[in-house]
Amino acid sequence: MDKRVLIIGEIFVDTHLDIIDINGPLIRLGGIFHSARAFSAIGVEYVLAYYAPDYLDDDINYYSCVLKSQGCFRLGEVKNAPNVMLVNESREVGDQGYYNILKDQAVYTEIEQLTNIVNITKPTDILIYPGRYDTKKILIDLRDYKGRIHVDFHYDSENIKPDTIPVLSTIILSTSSIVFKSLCNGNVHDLISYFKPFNAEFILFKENRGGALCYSFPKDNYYESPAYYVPTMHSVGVGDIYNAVFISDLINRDTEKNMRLASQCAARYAETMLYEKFQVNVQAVLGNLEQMIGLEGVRLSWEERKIINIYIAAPDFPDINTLLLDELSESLRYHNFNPRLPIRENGIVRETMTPEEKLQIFRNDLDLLSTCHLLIAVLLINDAGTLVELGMFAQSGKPTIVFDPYNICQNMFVTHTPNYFCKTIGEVIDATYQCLRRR
Amino acid sequence: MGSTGSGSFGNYRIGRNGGETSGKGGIGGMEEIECPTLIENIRLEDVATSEFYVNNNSTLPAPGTKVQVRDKVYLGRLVVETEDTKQVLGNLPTQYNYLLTYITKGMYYSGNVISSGNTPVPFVVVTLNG
Repeated sequence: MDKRVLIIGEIFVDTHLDIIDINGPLIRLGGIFHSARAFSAIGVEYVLAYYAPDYLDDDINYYSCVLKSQGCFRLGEVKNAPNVMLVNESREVGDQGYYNILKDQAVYTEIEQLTNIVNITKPTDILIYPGRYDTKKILIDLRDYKGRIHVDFHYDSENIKPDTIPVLSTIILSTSSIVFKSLCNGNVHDLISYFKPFNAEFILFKENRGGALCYSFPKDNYYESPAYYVPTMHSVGVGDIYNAVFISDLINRDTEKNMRLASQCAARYAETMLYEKFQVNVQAVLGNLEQMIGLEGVRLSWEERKIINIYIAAPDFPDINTLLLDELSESLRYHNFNPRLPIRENGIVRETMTPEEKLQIFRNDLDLLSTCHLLIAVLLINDAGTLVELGMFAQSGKPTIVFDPYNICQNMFVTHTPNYFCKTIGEVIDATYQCLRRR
Repeated sequence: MGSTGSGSFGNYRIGRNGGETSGKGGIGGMEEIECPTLIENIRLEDVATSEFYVNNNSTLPAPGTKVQVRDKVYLGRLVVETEDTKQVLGNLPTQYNYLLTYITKGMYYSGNVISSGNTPVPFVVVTLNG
């Protein structure tokens, strides 16, 4: 039987405050529309069952037709809130700063019976994005459903417990999921233990730019796939694309290949805001499938990153504006890397110190340097110490990155020494993954 | 008092960049990513173990030698080969893997060796045009 997926969840108006075109910030339908774009692009039938405010109905119906959905049902209404999602940072260099306007006063009311929708549309699969609507009731209503149920545990899912819900085919979450960070202590072992009582077939754990992990409960087996780097325009909804392609099982029950295909399609989504371009590029992927999924990518798991020390060589002095240094460090921590800032850890050399004290700091910095796997030189000013550290580290054969946001560097040794020469924090993060990926 | 803003869904237009990225962490206007037509100074990977170096007595092609990106993935990588002998010079760094989508759609990347040498390890730097 041909696959038909019923997608359940909210629809938002994604407002990208950092993507400005001639009309202002870019806006487009988000929430379950991201998955809809994926199913449409790969040619899998799907139906929408959504929660949204009244005013969005006409646009939702129109664009669901444009995206060739097989049905569009309003499951429930959202009152007192516009479901507008402000996105401060589209590319997920660090925290994306999502802000759901007036979310705390939103009231969710079911207006259609889910069982009626299921009976009419007869889906083979149901993909649920929990929200602040009554997800528990949704799952209880599906107790007798015989198809495959996949649930994304990213948001609003901390209260979903195994005792009252049907058996799930796929549990999906990512490194930024609250369930993972808070209830599973941010580690994969606890994640598997937490979800064992759910009796699911798979748990799919997406690790953003480092790839993904899938665990099969019945087989007690792990599958991994890399992420595929692309020049990124945005990261909003990219994970939803991954979900949709993975559960579509286009490469018959080959978990690893389906993961790689999902990763390639997710990368195509991140390249553009234009659906037409995304669709053409996804079709190019499908038309050259074995080569596209055979490509080496970036695999660097969440837990591998935690033990990676990154030496941040920079003029981290009291009289220097270190805002960019702080932002870089925060972005690295967001991605679970371990930035080491020598001045903050070992202290700063002061003129009042004895020669022995100064030498001790120098030795401590050298010790720290030797324990690190990557060095990032941040050229806030033209600082000799930063450049010496860059040269010393490069001689060890380990990778180096130079971050030159103010175009200070003119010297050929500095431009040609590092593995990557970057102008933005986004580029530094991408370069970090490239330097440290599993080989 | 008037207002500006995104008037309706579907009126996104590519074009105006909201501002040059000025090193402020990449925040600013963004444009659609276009297919690259010039990629300069790419240092190839795994040169020492690649076909050309191995089969040519550890020699490397001189600057100016014509090269191209093979249109088929080789051992999981996009590779650069000499245009005349089709021998693999080295792997394109994985950050350029996205070019395979454009190659699949008919794009052809070729160019020249910019520099090559053996110190401290065998290396080849190429520039590619699409």
